[in-house]
Amino acid sequence: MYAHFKLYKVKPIYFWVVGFRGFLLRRLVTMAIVLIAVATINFLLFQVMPFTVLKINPGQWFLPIVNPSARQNAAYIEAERAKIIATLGLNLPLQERYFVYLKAMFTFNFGYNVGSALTGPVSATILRFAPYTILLLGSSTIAAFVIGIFLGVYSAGRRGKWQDKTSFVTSLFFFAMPSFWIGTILILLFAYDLKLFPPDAAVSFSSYTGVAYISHVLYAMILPFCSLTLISVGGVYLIMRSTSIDVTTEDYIFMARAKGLKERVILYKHILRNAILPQVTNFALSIAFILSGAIITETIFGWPGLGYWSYQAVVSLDYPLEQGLFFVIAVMVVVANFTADILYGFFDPRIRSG
Amino acid sequence: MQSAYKRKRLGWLRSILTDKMGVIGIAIIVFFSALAVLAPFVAPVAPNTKLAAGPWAVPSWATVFPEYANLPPNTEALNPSIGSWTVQTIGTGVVSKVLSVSVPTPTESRYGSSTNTALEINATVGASSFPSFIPIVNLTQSFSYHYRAPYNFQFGLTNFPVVVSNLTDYYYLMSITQPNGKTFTLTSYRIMASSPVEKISYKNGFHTGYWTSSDLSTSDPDVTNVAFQTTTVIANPGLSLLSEQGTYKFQITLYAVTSTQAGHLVVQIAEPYLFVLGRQYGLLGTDNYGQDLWSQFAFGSRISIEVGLVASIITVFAGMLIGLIAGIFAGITDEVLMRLADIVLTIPFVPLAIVVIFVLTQSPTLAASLYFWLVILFFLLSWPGLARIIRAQTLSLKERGFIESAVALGGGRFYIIRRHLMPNVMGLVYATLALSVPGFILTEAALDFLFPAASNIPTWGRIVSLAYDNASSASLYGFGWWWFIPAGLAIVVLSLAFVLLGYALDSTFNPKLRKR
Repeated sequence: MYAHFKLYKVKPIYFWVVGFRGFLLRRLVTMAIVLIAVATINFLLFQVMPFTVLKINPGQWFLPIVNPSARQNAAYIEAERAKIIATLGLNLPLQERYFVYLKAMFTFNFGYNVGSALTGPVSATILRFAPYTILLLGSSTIAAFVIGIFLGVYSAGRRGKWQDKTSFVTSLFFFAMPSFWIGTILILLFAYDLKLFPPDAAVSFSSYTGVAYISHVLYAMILPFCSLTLISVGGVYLIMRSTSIDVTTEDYIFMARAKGLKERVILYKHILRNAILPQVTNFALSIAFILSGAIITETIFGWPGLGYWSYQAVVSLDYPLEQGLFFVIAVMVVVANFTADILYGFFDPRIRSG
Repeated sequence: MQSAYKRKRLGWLRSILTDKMGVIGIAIIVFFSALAVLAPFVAPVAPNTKLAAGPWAVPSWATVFPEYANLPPNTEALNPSIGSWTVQTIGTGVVSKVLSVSVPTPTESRYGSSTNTALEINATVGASSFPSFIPIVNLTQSFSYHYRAPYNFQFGLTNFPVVVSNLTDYYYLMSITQPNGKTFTLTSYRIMASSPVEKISYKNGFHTGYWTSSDLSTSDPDVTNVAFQTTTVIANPGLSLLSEQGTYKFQITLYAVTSTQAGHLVVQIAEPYLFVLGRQYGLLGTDNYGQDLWSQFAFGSRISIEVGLVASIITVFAGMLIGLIAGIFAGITDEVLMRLADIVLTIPFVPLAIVVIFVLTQSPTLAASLYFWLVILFFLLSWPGLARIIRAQTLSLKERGFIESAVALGGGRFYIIRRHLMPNVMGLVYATLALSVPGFILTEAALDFLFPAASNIPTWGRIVSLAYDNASSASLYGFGWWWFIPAGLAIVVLSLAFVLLGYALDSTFNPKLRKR
């Protein structure tokens, strides 16, 4: 009994590789397992559940909607059909199809759009709309982190004063604010009431090309950008403020004060640099959170990114698109988490021991 | 000994109650819980009752602002009692008398069973070779109206045919005369002669907003024109018809349409009404269907609190159990559970929830229990967070001296778990319980926002969603701030209340944090 409680030591399974390379290897193995798990969930959701719940054969989703001129050509359709059945193993039993499915997912062969809005292969659709999401998410995440980090350090420096209290309460409020509510308020106020911005982003720039297109895209991006920045800045600020306050009690800050360094120098050279570490991983981890928030924000503002289309795919019953998008978003989240882990291990050697 | 133990166990409660933030959090949670429980009692109407007032009605208290001053509340403009009407028979062969007998009330009656007077019209009309309109009786009543114009109003009467013989059909023509003398026809309602001689209410036949657009400019309506009317819907008839303040006149004219033989018409008319749908209503106004938003808000608190609490309780206790198991039964169990946690943590929630809701709503039986499945989904994807923390805590506790002593004293495994491990992780569990609720509330509201039609239950997310759907017309009706602000604000406030409670619990159980 005593032995059970006392003589227990954490034994990592991968104890045979040590150091940073070993840590990297362990994380890679975990990521591979997670990716297969995600693909399996995808398989259950899109290949097994339709049979049991909806009583439909998902195989039909992989048949392309041929263009009208080719529709007459029976031989062409038959050839396409045979090709798809061969690629996806649609005539195979479920347990064999699982492996064919895995191969299709990891080669990004998601079938063809069946919704009315989009045609062609799903992978092409995803490639076409991913830049919008990357642009919106990338810029708003960076903005949120820059604002959150500086505001957090500033707040910690002014701890207890009104500047700190105001920014703390405001951030807590934005942190608890649902993204759809911020979006609704912004769109009602600035798009419908003041008519400053287009209520439907995609419509506003779809007819332009060249420089005009870019300027219209950026202009339409202002509202969703503000919305996403506002929802993410609260979390960054709260963590930054709390780590900064922790750092303030460290001996080297005491030392810096004793040396007679200016408060500004202490704040931005000593505290900021030391408190920023958790934010590095928080940055990568927040990708998952923001991707979820992006579905709602993109839908509200009609921003034609992956989130918008993953909602549209559901509404327009476009199973293959939904399947492909879910897989791609899940892979993005897994890769982001992996990056976060690696970065953390890189910056903080204690993590590597596992 | 027992009492001391009990006192110590309840000490955390006293500690929370001395924490100002904790008390605020508890007060807010209690308020919303009470609202959820008492929703049927505090809601004046069912949340899905359409036209409880006019569409886009502002909250009643908002009329203190000059912008919303003098907006009409729900108003019965006419006196429904027949005795108060001016009855003017036209031509010979028409007899009218007020019946004091109780008239069987149609179920749709606005006045319920209060009807106790009716006007009986007994008229004989001559024969003609082709159908012609013979006016029989005029009913008029004046009313004063001193509010700003409403968006909408309803009007009608109850008609009981007693004898209808040798008539093509008969009509009710209703018109309204503005203080400036202009008359507008509201409707000419045709009743077929072949309608069975029964006491039927035609009240539902009259609807606001349906009349021929040409009538709006005619002061002397020609019945033959209106008889073949093409109805057009006018969005806000009240704005054009009740636009002035002063004394209006409401007139009902009964016409008989002759046939080749001399006809006889006996009808009873009861409870004519003109009901002004308010532009101010209740605590939170109304939406675009005139549904009471306060009722929706009160019922909406139910789903938020239920889903938030149930999901959090299930998740936290499952997480605690898994964490304890992983911490205590180390080795392969620990490894498997923690790798499983790693996998679950990386699955993006909202995309998965969208897919699951999508599949569920394809099947009506599953859609009925949507929130149950949502809670299951919340549980399946959220347990690893706490499980990891509890596992770490357990691993650290196992090394402590008091566990060692307990083991040395011969305490059994389950005794130690129950008496020493559990009490030491419970503080963490309670704090996480409170801190995890906001996440569930926010996510559930977000899903309701995306799929407002997934279930017919009013929720806060659905309220904001419908407000967003009507955003394009909101600017016509004063921005609709009373529609989307309260529900969203409630989500924020309730979430923050749980965060405050969680922080208070956290600082109670982890005194180290108190200095923050």
